[in-house]
Amino acid sequence: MKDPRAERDLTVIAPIRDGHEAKLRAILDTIGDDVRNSEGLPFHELSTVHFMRWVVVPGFDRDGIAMAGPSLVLSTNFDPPRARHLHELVTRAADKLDEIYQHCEGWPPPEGRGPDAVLRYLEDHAADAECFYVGHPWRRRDQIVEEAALRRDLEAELDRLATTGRLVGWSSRQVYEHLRAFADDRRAASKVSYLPARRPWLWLRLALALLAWGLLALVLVIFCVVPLLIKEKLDARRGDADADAAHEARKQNYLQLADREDYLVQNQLTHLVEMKPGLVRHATLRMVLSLIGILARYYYNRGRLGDIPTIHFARWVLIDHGQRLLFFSNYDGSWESYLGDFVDKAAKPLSAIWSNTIGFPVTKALAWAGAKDEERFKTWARAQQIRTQVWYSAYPDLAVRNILDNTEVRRGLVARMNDDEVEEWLRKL
Amino acid sequence: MAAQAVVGDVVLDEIQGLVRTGFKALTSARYLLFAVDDLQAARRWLGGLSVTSAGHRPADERPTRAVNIAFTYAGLKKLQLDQRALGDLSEELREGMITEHRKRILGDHGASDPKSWLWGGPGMAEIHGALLLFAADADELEALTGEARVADGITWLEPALDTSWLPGRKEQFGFHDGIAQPNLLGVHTEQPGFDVVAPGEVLLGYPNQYGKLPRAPRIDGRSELLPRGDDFGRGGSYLVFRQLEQKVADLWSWARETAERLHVGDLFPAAADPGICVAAKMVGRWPNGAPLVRWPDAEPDTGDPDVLTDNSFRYAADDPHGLACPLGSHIRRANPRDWFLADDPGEALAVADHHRILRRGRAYGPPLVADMDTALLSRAADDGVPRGLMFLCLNANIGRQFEFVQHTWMNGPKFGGLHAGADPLVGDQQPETSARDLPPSFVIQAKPARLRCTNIRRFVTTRGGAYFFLPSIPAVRYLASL
Repeated sequence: MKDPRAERDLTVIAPIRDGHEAKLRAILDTIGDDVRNSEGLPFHELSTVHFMRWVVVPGFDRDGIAMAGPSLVLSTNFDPPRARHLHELVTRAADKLDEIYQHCEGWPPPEGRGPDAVLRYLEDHAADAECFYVGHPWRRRDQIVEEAALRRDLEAELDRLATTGRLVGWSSRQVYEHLRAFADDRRAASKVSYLPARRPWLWLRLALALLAWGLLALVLVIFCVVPLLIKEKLDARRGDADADAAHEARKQNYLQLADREDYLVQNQLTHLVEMKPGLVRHATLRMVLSLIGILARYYYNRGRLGDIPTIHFARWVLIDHGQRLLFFSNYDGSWESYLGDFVDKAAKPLSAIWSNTIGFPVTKALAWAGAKDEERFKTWARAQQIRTQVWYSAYPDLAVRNILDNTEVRRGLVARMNDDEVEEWLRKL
Repeated sequence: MAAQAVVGDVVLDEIQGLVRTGFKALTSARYLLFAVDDLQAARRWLGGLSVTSAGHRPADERPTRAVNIAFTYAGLKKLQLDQRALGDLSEELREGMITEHRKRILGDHGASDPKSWLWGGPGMAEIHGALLLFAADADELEALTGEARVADGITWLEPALDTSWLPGRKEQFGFHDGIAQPNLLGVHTEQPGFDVVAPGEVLLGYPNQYGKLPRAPRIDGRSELLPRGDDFGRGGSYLVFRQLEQKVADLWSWARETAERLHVGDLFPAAADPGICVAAKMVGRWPNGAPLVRWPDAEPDTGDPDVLTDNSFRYAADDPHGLACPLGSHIRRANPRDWFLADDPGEALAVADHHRILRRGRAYGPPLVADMDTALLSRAADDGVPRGLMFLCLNANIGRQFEFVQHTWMNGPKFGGLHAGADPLVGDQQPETSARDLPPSFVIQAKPARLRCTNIRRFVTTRGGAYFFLPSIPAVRYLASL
């Protein structure tokens, strides 16, 4: 499935040196507190980056046995090709990478630490996402930023028409033609290249989606259904105890998470859960994630994942040899509204994923109930969320819907449209 | 919905009256904030307090007064509610309204910063509770206040929060208010339908709109005063209280300036007064209450209550593009109904019903123009007198209901697919949490093209506030018995 030219997500997991976790957290918090003006890490110069974050993932143990130590996870969403993105990281952020990763195991010693060694380190520690989603696919960062600038100028021109009284008596067509002429002048004056938005064929997407569903149904029925139903019954007995534990954990967790939220129109979420033990759970999870991955790539590629319209990028990554599941997402609006959408619009697929992890609200037949138990689901989600130390967005003022609309506005300037289409186009301004 | 099938057992006599009614027949009201000094004396006072229930009374026994009571988290702690019950109360109540995060969620910065509040701000007197007094007239209210104030063991905090009754059911900006409210199944109606939500959306201990019983405070041990022996929460609700100052003259002068600058009179010739047209577009209703969805061109000259309190309209079918009622207008943000929240109108309505609040606000301060005549009000100069709304609302989950509505709908710059700006009437127009490269603005959808009203200011500022728990009547008795 993997196409290196289309790859847009990087996950690098580096184990933290013994005794260095606190120092590393302090460094990252300092960067994270002031991402816009961060000295030494020039985020705005990273021209390939859409979103970027660093998270300290705590170690964990099970039944008193240490399973994994703490690690530092870097996650980026970038414009392909991947080699260019990595090159930019190791050359433009060299000093800051050094300051951060000297607290990680295996970081090259000073004498051998050229760009090549750093690049190799990142590559060696890179992990594949099980499932990846983009809300505004096929748009490069420059395109997103430039289309937003185009909108700004068109809106200002439209304001000028209104304040000078010229809208009175004009038809939609007249307004459109005026704006088109305005944009033509502007385009000649700037050196913007409009990048095409590419889309695969619909029949291909549909065929693949159907194939995937069929495949999943088959595999699930053959291998997993009976053991899963038995396991579910056993898990259900723990339901109330899990809910109480999550209620307490949420209380402990809430303030340090909220401290990093709601400064902008966008937010981030990093969420870490332990897998339920056993091969059936593992196989089921991978199957569900790869199915959602296929659908995300070929079907849900018009701005919505399921029915959720606010996700810029999201991914699931299995870590610690499949024993824990990480979820990263960059989304619009508040946590409460995002999680509300999970419950109202995507409860089944999300239950199918997370019911394989410990403490998730009780499910029925894998995908039913679970996330539909609104309060318990949200409590569980908060309890399992971890603090994102550093988070950067290249276009923090844009919602997914804005980005999609801005592209339509730009395309409309070069399209031939009838009167209805012109009116629809004007509504996007 | 499954939730609505199980209902029918709401015990009205156990519930405080405010849940069922805003006591609109009692036109005088005053809210007294208090702190508990002497625990034993305060409990005796509480035990003797006659709290008005939601139970139905025959029409000939109309009461001339009503008393309700609510407590902050600090107050419940002071009254020594046990640890288990305290821990089960919601995060929002426990943390209070003025945390750094809530300031961002609620838009409380700049002139609305809690530091400059009149009450409830950091370092100000700790509030333990609020006594809500309602009476048929001013004399009765004075008598009721006098009786309440003799309580031992209680310090009454300043300022006493007086309300005022404006002519024509209007709020201070001059618009007919309080029209759209959700109805609780089992409290306000026995019939499911439009604008009817499960009782658990407001009352703890009853199934909510998801068909679930949310976590509610239970005590360790048992008391014969409480339902099921330990259910402190059942029949209780969370009360949000905010004192909101309205800059009436400022709003109207902005509306008039904007109308002139954007040639609104030429684009909407049917509306007699362009300034009032802009203000109505901000609200989504004409000053007399008629909804723009039904009356897009001009304010209908009628006294027919079916027109003036018409709440039957939908957006997806009746006005999907906001050409009548702008996408970012106040009533559309406060409840988007069947529009925007999902493609399918039925699903959108179901989503909207997870975010309803029961509003119980009253105006305070004198009206800027005594008879609230729109023509006069919309041209009146500022008199420097503070006025506004004592905003009270009830809900079962402050985060999912009140705070969500405030943050995602009212103050959300991306609401409805828009790009920048908040609710034009009550929103936070500061750029702190908004898009920084687009000016805060209010967009009026129109033909041939939208009108963008930039330079919008904040016309409502927060002057005080706190989160309270409004216990059931058995729970009040239980607190008195501790």
